[in-house]
Amino acid sequence: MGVYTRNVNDADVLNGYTKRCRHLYQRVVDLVTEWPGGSMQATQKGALRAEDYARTFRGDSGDVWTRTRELARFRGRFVWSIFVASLSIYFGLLVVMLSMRDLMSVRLHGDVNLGLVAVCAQLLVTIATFWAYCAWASAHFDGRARELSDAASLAEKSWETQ
Amino acid sequence: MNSLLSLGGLRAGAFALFVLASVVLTIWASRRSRGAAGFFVAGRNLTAFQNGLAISGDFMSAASFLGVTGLVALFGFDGLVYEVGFIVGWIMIVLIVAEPLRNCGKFTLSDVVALRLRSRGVRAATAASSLIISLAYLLAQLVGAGALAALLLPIGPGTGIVIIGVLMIAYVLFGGMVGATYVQIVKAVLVWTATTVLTLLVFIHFSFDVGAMFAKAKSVSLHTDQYLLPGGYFKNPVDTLSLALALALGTAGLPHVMTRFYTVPTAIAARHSAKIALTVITSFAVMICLLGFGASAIVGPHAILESNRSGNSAITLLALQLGGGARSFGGEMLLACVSAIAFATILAVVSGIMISSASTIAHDIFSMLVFKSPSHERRQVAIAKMATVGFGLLAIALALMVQQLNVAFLVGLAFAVAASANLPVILLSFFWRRFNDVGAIAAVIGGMISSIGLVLAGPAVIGHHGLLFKDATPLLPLANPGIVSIPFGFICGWVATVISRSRSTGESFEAQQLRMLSGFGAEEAIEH
Repeated sequence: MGVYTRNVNDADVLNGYTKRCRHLYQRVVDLVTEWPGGSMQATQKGALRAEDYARTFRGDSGDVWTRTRELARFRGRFVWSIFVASLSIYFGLLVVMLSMRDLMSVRLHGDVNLGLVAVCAQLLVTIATFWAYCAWASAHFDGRARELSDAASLAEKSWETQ
Repeated sequence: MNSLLSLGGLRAGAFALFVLASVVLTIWASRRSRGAAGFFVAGRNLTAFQNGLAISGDFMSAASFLGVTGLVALFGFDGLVYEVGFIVGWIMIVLIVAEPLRNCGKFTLSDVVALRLRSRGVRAATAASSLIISLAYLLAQLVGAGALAALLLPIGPGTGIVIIGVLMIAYVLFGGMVGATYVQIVKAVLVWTATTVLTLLVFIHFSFDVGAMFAKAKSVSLHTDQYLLPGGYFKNPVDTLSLALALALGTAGLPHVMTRFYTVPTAIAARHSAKIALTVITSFAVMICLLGFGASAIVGPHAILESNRSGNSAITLLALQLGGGARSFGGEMLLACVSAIAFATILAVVSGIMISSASTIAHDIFSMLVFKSPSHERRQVAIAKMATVGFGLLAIALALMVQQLNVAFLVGLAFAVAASANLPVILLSFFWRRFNDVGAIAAVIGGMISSIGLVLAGPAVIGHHGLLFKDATPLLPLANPGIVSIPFGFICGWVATVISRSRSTGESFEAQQLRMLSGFGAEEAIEH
């Protein structure tokens, strides 16, 4: 009885080892094969839902996708324009400051020179860029984003009821 | 000596008071923090105002409060160039990054990218770059805290590092993101108030004649002719441009800054919080620069240099003078307050960095890569707490090891890696339909290796002012590698995407665009 029990236990232990080895092997294979091109099955909730949305809206006469593309273009036009303009002013001023020290030393009032005024101007440009974006987003973007979200919700509901 | 000790005791008392208040706040905050979202991102329930103050608290670090004041006091104009660079970084954040991050993100940068690019490699690469950035930033802050402790309190630098490090671990361990955020908010209010009061006192000192302050600061400066002109501190124009590029683009890629945008309920709230942050930050930056000029005029550069070679004591010496000078009650009280606030600044900033590091370790590395299961919230929080202790102890140990070395370059390195590795992945995944996993991995690795490699080969590490090999000549003349490493990160991402066979699906790009623009499917706030 004692020998028999020991044999069974050995077999169990062996099976356990085999299972663990197989599991480990599978993990290594997963890791290698999914590095870097494969996809993760268990990923974040949002990522899985994104694909569901893709399937949902494929049959929705492309309306949601069209509106998404339009909104992306609409936002991109404004945002990238003021972003590039604002950074161009910053780096432009910086290059001028670093390369034209004589110009920067021109006094405007007491010890306040052109360089100090340029720094203040840069701060004002940054704030103006920022406030311009916030005003534009409140007036022109948020409403359209809300409409797009509503349209996506409707499309999702109609897809679920089908 | 007794008098000196008692004065040091006054400062230590003020610091202890802040610690006590912040511990009470953390305990209170811990009751509001539930589940993984509660621990990592405060349940996405912070108001725009709260988050705005917390973000501005991140900006009002010791580097700004002590470092920039000293830089302006000693070198004048170039200190302004540095401060303006920090502020310009917010253009990228507000216009391009904040709202899409809120809509696409969950806990970490890897979650944002994983919406489209789901390979383990991408998650591993972005997690690695985030941890490297956090560790570099954390080390610089902890070593700075040690030096500050030796300067202001009757304790050694090592003790300062251990105290700040242990408190940092405790805040995150017990309060999570809620605790770290409330500590940051209290600190932001304190720092801004102290800066305003000191600026007012400087103005009163000069009878509100700012011109007289500039004239006096210039006349007593070390280099009278070029004090109000560029070139006093930054000698190499290309290096200055490189630093400006890293500051302008790197802020958006810092993990602890990105994490802040996941803590509000909507993208509009993220925008409003950035608006509040920029308002507070800009006013703070202007006042800090004025205080730098004030310190030069009132304290004088020689007294500042005598106290601390890098000028970090400029604002504390200014407070002492404005309060009535050494040995006066007003002067010592003001100095005690400013010293305590300086410590609070470091403490709050390192707590913010710690929570984002814990999120990366627990969520990205363990939950998503090791266990492949994001659903076990209690396990994630438990791992995050263990990671907090482990990563915190590692940072303390490393900081104690390198405390004698000049590690100021680590902040520049953190910005360079953030701009060269994280930013290309964020921008290309948001705006380039064809961008794929191979491109993302190449961008992160290319950006990381180039920025770290160039720093190691540059004057920050090699040469007379470097960390090591002081007799050798640097292999590269740039201390700030951004001008090379940032384009290199983008080019790596582009080239690898174009030549690889892996193709990104248009559907996943469209789905991401929908979520990014409208917030449809975005992570929702959790009721406490």
